[in-house]
Amino acid sequence: MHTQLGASGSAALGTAAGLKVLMRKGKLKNEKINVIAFCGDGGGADMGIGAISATLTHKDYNCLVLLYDNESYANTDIQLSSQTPYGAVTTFSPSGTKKRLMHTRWKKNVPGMLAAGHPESRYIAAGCAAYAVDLMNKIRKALELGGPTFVHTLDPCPKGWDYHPQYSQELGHLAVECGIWPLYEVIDRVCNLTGPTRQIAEGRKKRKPVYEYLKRQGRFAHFAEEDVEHFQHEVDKMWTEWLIPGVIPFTIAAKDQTILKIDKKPLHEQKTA
Amino acid sequence: MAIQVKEREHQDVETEQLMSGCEAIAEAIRLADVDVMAAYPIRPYDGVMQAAAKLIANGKMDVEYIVADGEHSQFEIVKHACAVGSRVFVGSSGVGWFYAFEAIAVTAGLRLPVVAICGNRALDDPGAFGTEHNDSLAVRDLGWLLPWAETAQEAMDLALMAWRVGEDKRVSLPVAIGLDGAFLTHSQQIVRIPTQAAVNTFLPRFDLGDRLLHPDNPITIAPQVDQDWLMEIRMQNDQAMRKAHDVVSEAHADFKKLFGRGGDSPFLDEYMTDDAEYVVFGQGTLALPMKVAIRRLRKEGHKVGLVRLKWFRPFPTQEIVKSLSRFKAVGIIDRDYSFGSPHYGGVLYNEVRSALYSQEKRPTIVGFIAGLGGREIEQPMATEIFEKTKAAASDIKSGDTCHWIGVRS
Repeated sequence: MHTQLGASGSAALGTAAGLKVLMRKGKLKNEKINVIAFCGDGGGADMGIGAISATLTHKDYNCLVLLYDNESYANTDIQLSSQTPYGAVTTFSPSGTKKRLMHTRWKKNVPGMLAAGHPESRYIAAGCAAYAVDLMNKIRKALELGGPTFVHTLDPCPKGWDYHPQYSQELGHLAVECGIWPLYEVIDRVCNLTGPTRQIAEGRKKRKPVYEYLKRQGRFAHFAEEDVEHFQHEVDKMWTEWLIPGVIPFTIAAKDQTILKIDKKPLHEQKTA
Repeated sequence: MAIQVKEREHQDVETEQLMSGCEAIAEAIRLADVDVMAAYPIRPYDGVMQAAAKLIANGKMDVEYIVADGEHSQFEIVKHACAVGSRVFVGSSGVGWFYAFEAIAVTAGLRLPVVAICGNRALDDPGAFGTEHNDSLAVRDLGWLLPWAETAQEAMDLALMAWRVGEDKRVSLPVAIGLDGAFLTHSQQIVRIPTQAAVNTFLPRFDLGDRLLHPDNPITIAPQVDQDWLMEIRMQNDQAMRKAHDVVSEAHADFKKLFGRGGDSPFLDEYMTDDAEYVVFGQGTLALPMKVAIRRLRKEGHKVGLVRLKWFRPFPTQEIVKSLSRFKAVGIIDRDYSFGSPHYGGVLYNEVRSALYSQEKRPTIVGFIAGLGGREIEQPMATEIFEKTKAAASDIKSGDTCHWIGVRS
């Protein structure tokens, strides 16, 4: 069933709620039916983020929202979204003679935000179809764990990113290997880095420079050296400054490290200070 | 598919209760065994959700009750729940209704029989909670059935009718019941509550048939059709709306047989019109002060009456023509506005005039804008409306005027 832009969260919720109540009242055969709502980065990360957020708090309903992120409103002729990377050319952010970069916002961290903000969602993940088995497992886990779940995939787009379609998988690999798109899953509030992202975090693999990724795409062809440097600097921060690399964009101040030693016993067992 | 019922067999066991229009709708939700409802706060419609939430909390009904993150989500949630076969309820008011507008439009296009109430409220800005009909009327062209209630009893009765008519396979269109904010949503009246058995007789189980979205019935809903099929699909909606007229009549007849209520006509409620020469025409709660005025003016010897419209969509053109042709002049009271429209009249004014255009015998139709923002229609205003209607009778062209009533200078 096709739904409105921005309505994927509500579509998943309404469908799941309808099936649940009809089965409870005996109006429909009681069986497991997977409810999956697809959205793009425009419908999911921009317009529909509120509805997805609400859906992820309704823990009684089994549904998966799958955000297919090709980093632009591609259906309407490649306009920028909150998922378009810094500096990229789109039809809404052309590179001109006065302004080299029209789009200077950093990509919104959607799966990290949703994982941080929805502690009762049992499964939130970031994947990429270039790592097909990893993604397949993530979808399976989301549906198996149940409740409202969310998977965000990065999907290279030949037209919007301006490259030959034969390089789609390679670009997916590069996005992850350069550390721009980390792969992870948050299962019951435990974050698990997956694939090459895990290898990078564990020091078993070195991040590739972002230039390897940027130079392969026409949408970054106008980048000057300083733009590449800025991009690299921001990605470096994701790995050096974030609490969890590429996931949680803040950390604890050095002077507050004692916070990590907080008493984790239940309240009634804690000694008074 | 008229239902075989014994006349008024259930009336004796009905109970009476003092309740507001909102509470009466909540009772209808319980009686209709609604499956999914979605709420979001905005005055004054939200009294329904508050009353329904209490019924759920007290174990009086089993409804999947979702508090949404906004009106767009609210209407999308029930649209999708309806597609998998749930009987649904939703509602909003004023600008909240407009926040849901996209979902409201596609629900009619999809032919999903969502039942809503619109607790009629002025559109901001400037801020106002009081009743105006422009929120409901904004969807008049989209394929929503639009009944309007005068009393709490009628609100409940129309809600039960709404699921019956909307879900009928010949119609399969959404229904939005208009309830005047405050005057009806929050005013208490005695309401007769039907028995569950009687409602079960009146209201069959919702069955989407081969349009049910389910893995066992693989279909696609709402694909892209462009110019290839859109005209045919629009025409199907038009035909459904045409059929809705007879389905409303059928449901009204069954309702009357079962519950003994609903008046003579499903579409019009006439008050003291038998010998009337001048009548006013309107919808919703403005009927109440106008009835008071009519009784007063009749004592003074004026032959005046009221015709109240119960269903704005489908617009009962033939019934209106038949009824209004009897009078010398008709004053149309719009609790709405349509800036820049023909003769700068209200929505109802222009629709009624259009319905009568080809009639040889037609009364002068004069327009009145009154009671906006929930302003009371007081007796001097009612008198003025009747006086102006009477004065217009001698000259049909004098109807090309729309008077604003009770406006401070």
